[in-house]
Amino acid sequence: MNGRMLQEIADEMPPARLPDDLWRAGRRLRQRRRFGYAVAAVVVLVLALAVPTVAGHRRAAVEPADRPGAVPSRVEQPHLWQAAVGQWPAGAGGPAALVFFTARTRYFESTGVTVGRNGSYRLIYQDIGEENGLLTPDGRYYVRPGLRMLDLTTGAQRRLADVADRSRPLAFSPDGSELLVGIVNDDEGIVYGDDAIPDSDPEKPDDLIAVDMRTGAQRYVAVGRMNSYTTAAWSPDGTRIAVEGPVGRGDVGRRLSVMDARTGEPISTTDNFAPDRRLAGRAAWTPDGGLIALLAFEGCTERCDLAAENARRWRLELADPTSGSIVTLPVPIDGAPGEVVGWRDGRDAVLTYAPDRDDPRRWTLAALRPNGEIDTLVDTPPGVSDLEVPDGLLRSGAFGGPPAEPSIWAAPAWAYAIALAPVLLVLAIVRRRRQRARV
Amino acid sequence: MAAEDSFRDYVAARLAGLSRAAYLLTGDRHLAEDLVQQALVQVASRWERISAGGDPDPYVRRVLYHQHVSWWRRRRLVDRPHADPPDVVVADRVPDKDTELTVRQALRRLTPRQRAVLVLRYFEDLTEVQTAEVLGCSVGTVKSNTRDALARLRATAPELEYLRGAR
Repeated sequence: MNGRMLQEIADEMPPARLPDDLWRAGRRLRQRRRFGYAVAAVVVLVLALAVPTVAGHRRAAVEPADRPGAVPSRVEQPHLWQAAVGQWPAGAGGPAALVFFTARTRYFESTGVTVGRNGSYRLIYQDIGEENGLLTPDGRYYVRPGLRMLDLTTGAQRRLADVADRSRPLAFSPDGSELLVGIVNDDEGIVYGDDAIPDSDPEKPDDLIAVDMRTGAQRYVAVGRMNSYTTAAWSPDGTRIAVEGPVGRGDVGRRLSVMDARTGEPISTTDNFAPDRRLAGRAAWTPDGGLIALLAFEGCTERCDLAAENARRWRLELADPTSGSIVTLPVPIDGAPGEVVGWRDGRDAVLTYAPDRDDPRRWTLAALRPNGEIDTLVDTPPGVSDLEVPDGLLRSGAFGGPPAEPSIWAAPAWAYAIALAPVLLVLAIVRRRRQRARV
Repeated sequence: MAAEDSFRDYVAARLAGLSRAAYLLTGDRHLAEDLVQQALVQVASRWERISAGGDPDPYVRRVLYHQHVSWWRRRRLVDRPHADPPDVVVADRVPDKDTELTVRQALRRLTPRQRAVLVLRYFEDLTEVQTAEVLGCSVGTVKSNTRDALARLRATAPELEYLRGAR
């Protein structure tokens, strides 16, 4: 190659003309580059945080649905932007290990929160005034009043049977094949009694039905008998049910009735017009089926203010289902009990429990030993109430699972849009400025 | 302001040389101007770091040549109408004028990389090692590109017989 020849060709080129703002153009390029680095750093940071979380969720989602799981030993309040069930389906790992209720959500009213076996948190929106529902024994469905079955893995909802929205699910049969439901026959908004509180109409007593969970077929267990059915418990062998509800004008009394689960034939009936004792809950029958647990208290029983209610001294009693008489020494409870939902080791009652009687805003799940000692099974932050654990996990005693914390990424699409909006706005402004600069 | 002044001084001193190299690379005055401008904007954006490292020439040359290859990759050159050999009034330099035209046309048939290798080696008088540094490749790649470029020149312009001896 001849360098001289190239030199001669190159001689034809005069020095290039340069714009006056060459230096400034270089500065602008530097700014753009730095902005790009900053954006890239943010993206990398977000991905570094998001990928392990999302991967964890994906791993959890492919776990087999029949994996037993465990009840987490602690739960937290959900994030304000937490996705509702269905907004980000939790997948195969989504059957609930626990459901609790809290008002500290973006709905500012009592809202259900399902904690899946994979640790996922999803909100269960409740209609205004909607009562709480029940979890199916496998934790897959949350049964809302009116027998609306909410699939916690997909968010799909269907109605199990044609009943009114006010119909209240009470308890599953031991094999999970039937659900006891209180059918409300009252007119709405009628006030009875002397305290201006809407009560059940004694002229229109409610009915108790059992609904087949597979077919939705309804079977009447008891017609009338009580103003309403507030608590029901199925004996472990499935042959008897204990039902409680108010009776009399203004719901002044409580009737506890033990009846045949098939025919509804009464075995025993106990009326108590001093409302200091109630059926302990859906798991009131002791595991051997011999006794029924009652929650009783000493303290204010009529027109009680909050302080008087909080001052009640509670105890657990065991009663003979046939005679209704108390047959064991009461177990004192240092706190406020909610409802007995199961038993641990065939001996300790598992109940929802407010440890601090003066601050009944925090409910936990606890085991009550015969000597009155309390073991906390699920710890909670303030504002959590009405804990629900599926019967399957309760029966297997699968407590002590790892604490479950809500993922910040399980958010509805609009939350992502809100989070991205400032970034997009900045990008739009930068782009517009660049376009103006070119003009 | 000191950085801006030193940048202006550098540009004033090196503009002619950069423009000539860019012309050899692109074969077109307008493209050569664009190439120089874009390269210098890149240089201005990093001037403090470049000037702090001592001689800016190696970096500036690297930017120029990489920018050129980058253009080719983005097909910018293909999309733009390629100018004919500059129609300038130059002094009659016969008898080399015919050879010069032949070289110019033959250069156009080279890939940007091959062209860059020739310009760096025979116009800028860089060694193979320096050429490899500018292009960010190995010395072996420089050698093979040089060999291929000369072979193509010989094939497209057999009259440049004297290239046979060039290595």
